[in-house]
Amino acid sequence: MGPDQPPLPRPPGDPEKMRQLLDDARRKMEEEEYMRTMPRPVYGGPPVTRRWSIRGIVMLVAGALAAIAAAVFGWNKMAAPVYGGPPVQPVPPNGEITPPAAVYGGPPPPQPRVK
Amino acid sequence: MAVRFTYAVWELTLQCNLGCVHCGSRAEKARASELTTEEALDLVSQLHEVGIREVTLIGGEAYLRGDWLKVVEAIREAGMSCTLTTGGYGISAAAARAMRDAGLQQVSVSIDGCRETHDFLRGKAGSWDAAFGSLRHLRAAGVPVTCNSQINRFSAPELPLIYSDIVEAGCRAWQLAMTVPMGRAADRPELLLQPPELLDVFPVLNELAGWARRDGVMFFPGNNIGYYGPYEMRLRNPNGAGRAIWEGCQAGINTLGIEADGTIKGCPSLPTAAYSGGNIRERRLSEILESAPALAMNAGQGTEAAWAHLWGFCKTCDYAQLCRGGCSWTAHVFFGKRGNNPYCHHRSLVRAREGRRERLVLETPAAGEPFDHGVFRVIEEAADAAWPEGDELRFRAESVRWRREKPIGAAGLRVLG
Repeated sequence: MGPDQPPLPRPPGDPEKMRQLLDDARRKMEEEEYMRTMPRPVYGGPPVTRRWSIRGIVMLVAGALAAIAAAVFGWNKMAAPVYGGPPVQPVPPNGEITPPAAVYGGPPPPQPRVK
Repeated sequence: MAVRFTYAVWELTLQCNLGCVHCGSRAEKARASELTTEEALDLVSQLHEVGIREVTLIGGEAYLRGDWLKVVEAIREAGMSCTLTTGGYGISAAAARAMRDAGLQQVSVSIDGCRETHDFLRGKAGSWDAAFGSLRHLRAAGVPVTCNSQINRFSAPELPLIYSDIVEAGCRAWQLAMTVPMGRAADRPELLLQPPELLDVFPVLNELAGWARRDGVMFFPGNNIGYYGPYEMRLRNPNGAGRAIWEGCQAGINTLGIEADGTIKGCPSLPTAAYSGGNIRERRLSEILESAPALAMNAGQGTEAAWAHLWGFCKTCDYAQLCRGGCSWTAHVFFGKRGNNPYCHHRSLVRAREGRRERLVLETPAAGEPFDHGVFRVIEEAADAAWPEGDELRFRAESVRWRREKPIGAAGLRVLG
């Protein structure tokens, strides 16, 4: 403390050590926050955590692999009916049955009118 | 954001017009030998001499002292900032204008809950309405207003509603402090949050800090809110930028506390008996600062002397040398000595990771004097151990009233009567 320096504020005993302690604490907090399981959810639902993000990425990759597998190996499998079952097949006047409409791959083709 | 360098908090009188159930100084009547006007004005000049730049007047209720505006004027004439912290019971429009004219630069009004909770905690029916009436008068007079709130098991569930109310009332800043067992609060340990409950409180504070940032309201965690948990930087940097973190107790470093009879402490909250550095009736303030060990207890930051007092968990903590046991006041009023602070988010998180938790149990009640405290014992137990039966005020995340429609809890209603 200099001769004209008022008693307050008191300077740190070791300013260099104080700077080092501050830097160390900030670094440790950042490391801890990265590793820490996030605290409990509050307003607006659970926070998005890193663990959830990793889980999301894994699910996304697994989903993509499943889609590729379905595209490669599922082409000759029976297509599952859509919601409500397959479209009703009206019987044409000549009694011939039209082939079933495609489900997977788009809407059914136009049907002949029933008189 | 303004930086606060040196700061004195001055209990101008212990006389009070409220009867707060958590009042650390058990304020009611004036002290037997409060400073005379001449002594108070002389202290103002001494504060300036020792380097103080800002003075906050508190009580009791500072404005109940007849000459308080003279003190305000003297502080301003000496070139220091002057603010008031008040319960806000009945500041009239004329009183607000007089404060402005005397040079008072800011008033912080204590708001501890919604109407019924606030009135219960402040010990007087109508005190919530009076406080908001005071805020209106102060704003109309052009005095900047802020608010401060206690965090305890009654107020914690209502923090979002308090925030909404004070923002609507035009407050530009909000300071929060944990209720700790000093004075009357030591007589009501059921009010106090238990350390594991901090795990639910801090996410709420983090959320509210975000609201405040969005609304341009300055969010100030008090010195006994911390330390080094996942929200530390977000809570301690109100504008969202900056890397400020807790740097240890500043009592006697850049802060002084003054009791109405001239007793000098390093911080206004510290218990008188253990932390008095002397009285300005006996020695000049500069002499007290230079020679009283109680005011130099935090000197030597960065050296071994600064953390030699640590004990218990705090002694073993990774942040020990910087933190120095958090708020000395909080640690002392729980255990009778500083250096081991149970109100620490980091500590509760560490314990939780270990599958443990700590509960505080009152062992020795307080004597009933201003600034007194009891002594608590820490019970360490498994995190999933049964919680004590009958503890109806236990705080949980789901207790929080984010919207006004959610009614106050049944337990709270029972206690409020």
